[in-house]
Amino acid sequence: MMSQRANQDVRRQLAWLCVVVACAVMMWGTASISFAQSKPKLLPTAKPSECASCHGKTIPLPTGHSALTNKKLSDCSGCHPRGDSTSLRGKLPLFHNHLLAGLTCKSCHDNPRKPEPPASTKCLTCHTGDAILAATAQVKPTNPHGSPHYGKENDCNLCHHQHGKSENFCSQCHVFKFTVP
Amino acid sequence: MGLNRRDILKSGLAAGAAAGATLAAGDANAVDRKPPTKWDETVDVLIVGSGYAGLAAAASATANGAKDVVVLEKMPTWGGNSIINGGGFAAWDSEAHLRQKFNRGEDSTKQHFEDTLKGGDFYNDPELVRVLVDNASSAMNWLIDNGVELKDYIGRVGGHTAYRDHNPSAGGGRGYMVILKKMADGGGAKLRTRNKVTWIWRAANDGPVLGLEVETPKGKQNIRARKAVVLASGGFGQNVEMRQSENPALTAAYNCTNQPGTTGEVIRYAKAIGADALQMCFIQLLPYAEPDKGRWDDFAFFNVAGPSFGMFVVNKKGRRFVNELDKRDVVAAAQIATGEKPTFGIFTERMIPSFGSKAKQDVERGMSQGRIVKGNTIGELAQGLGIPSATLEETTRKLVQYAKAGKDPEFGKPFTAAMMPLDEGPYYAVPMWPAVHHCSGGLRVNPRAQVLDAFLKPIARFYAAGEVTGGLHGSNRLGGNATAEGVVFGRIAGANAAAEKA
Repeated sequence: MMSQRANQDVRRQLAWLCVVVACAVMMWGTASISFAQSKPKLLPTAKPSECASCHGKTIPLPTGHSALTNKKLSDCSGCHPRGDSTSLRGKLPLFHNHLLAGLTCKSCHDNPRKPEPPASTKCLTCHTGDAILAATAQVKPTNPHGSPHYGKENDCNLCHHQHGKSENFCSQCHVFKFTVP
Repeated sequence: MGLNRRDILKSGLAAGAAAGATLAAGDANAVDRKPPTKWDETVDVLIVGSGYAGLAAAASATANGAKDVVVLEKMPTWGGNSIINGGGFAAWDSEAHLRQKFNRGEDSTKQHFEDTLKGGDFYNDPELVRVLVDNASSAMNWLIDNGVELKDYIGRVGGHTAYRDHNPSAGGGRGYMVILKKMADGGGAKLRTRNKVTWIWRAANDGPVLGLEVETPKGKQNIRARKAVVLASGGFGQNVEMRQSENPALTAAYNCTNQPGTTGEVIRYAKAIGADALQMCFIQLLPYAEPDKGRWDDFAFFNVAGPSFGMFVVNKKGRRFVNELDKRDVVAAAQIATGEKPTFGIFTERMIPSFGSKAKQDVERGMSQGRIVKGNTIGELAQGLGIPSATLEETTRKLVQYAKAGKDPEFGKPFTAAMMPLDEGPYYAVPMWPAVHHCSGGLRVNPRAQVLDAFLKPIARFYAAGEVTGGLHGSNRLGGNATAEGVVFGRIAGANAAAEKA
């Protein structure tokens, strides 16, 4: 009996401790929102389905969006099919896709706590040049991955930024209206 | 992550402007910056820029024994303007002997020399022109021997009196650049993108150049060059403030064919350590550029090469206004004087094979992109362009007569055997409008590609090649001479840099 009660006490104390810690975290989160709003944290420990861990309270999901708990990238396409106006292509910083697809920070960065930009060779360990070229073969007016200047050798990061808005690098000279994921 | 192109562009412009402001104010602190006592890195040869001149210098330096050669490129992509340009290379001959193959008459280094001087209104440094024309052919052979494939074409472009315009078989300038990069890589040269020079270190006012201060993705670094520094950083066409400081007429309203990195700050750093510069106000407009953004795209090539095969150019009223084979400054000035953007280059179906074996595909592609307009008759073409058909028909009729008589009483265009009759369609038109294209002026160099100071003495361990230099082209550069210049002088600079004692 005594030992059970002691266990209950310990559990109760632990529960209180969790509440206190959670409150502290929330308050700290609230206090840091002014910073977090413009620049979400890039926490190496964050899980893709837990938006709040980086975004704090300013989760950029629309009201009424279903919870992302345990969701994977493939689950998104049910409601956001490619080619549809709801498609997320070009709208979501690309590392979200990678995390939702099961990758971690370490998949790209050798040291996630002190990350350096990975070389394109890292991207090409999963994406192959020929497959990328074929995937965009029908894009008009020209295949963005078949540059007459650089062929298939362009740095992926010229256009596809993981932690910022991707850009259409070609548009500095050309009138190509590419949607860049 | 890292720098994106906008950051690079902004920093380039800002740094250029800042340096300009500093020097204009005569701030001695900028000029008196003391070289570092400790260096972050030491190499044999440091090359700034990765275009024709930079990579030719790297290939040549490594081939001539330099061990540790580093090419610094501030942009996120390598190749500068060279990898996006049309690829015309002027040489009187090559081991491909294309002029002879197509039976396009005679040529010589003497003729190329005279054309270049005349094209530049005799402002050119004849010694530099001599180096260009004497070495263009062997430079082309150097490229061919290393794998460059040439287009089955030989053209005569504005200001040249012979068919000497060589082009790679695919991809414009890329055709040479891929090979030059392979040569530089093969020799062990290391190319670093996103590495922007922020100062040139020189030991005292009359000492040798020591190295460079460089903004790298990992922060500022000072790199020592044991043998030499070679500047191949291009012109300043995209720096409106700098180009207007030399030629106030070239306002921001002008498009520019250049890649965004041509901001010229390296010229300012070189001047700040005592280098001389000349003819900086000679900034060329390219008459043939795509009118909206000023691109030299695949279709502008037809306007460049077209006149040699009989293409004619009209304004929005459907009238000719210039000798189409005149040099670029004359054609561009005449276009601007029409007062109405754009003008149109018109060619016929029969000319297409002369533009190379893939030209037909390019014409189809141009039509699908709306860059080329087709008409089975001149009237139909005029309708497609939205210009008066009666006038365009009259213009064409007159020109057919002039060609038969072998004389153009209106604009004095010379007719050649390569030009085709205009009385048979279908007809095609490519809109064109001048854009800032090439800075003919720049740092003063001697035939060994050494940078000279204000007293015309070489600055030790300091070379420059390509568009960053001035004096070769005089007031107006002829088409194909800049590509040849980059390879010829880059090659010389690289070899001489390698020969310096470490």
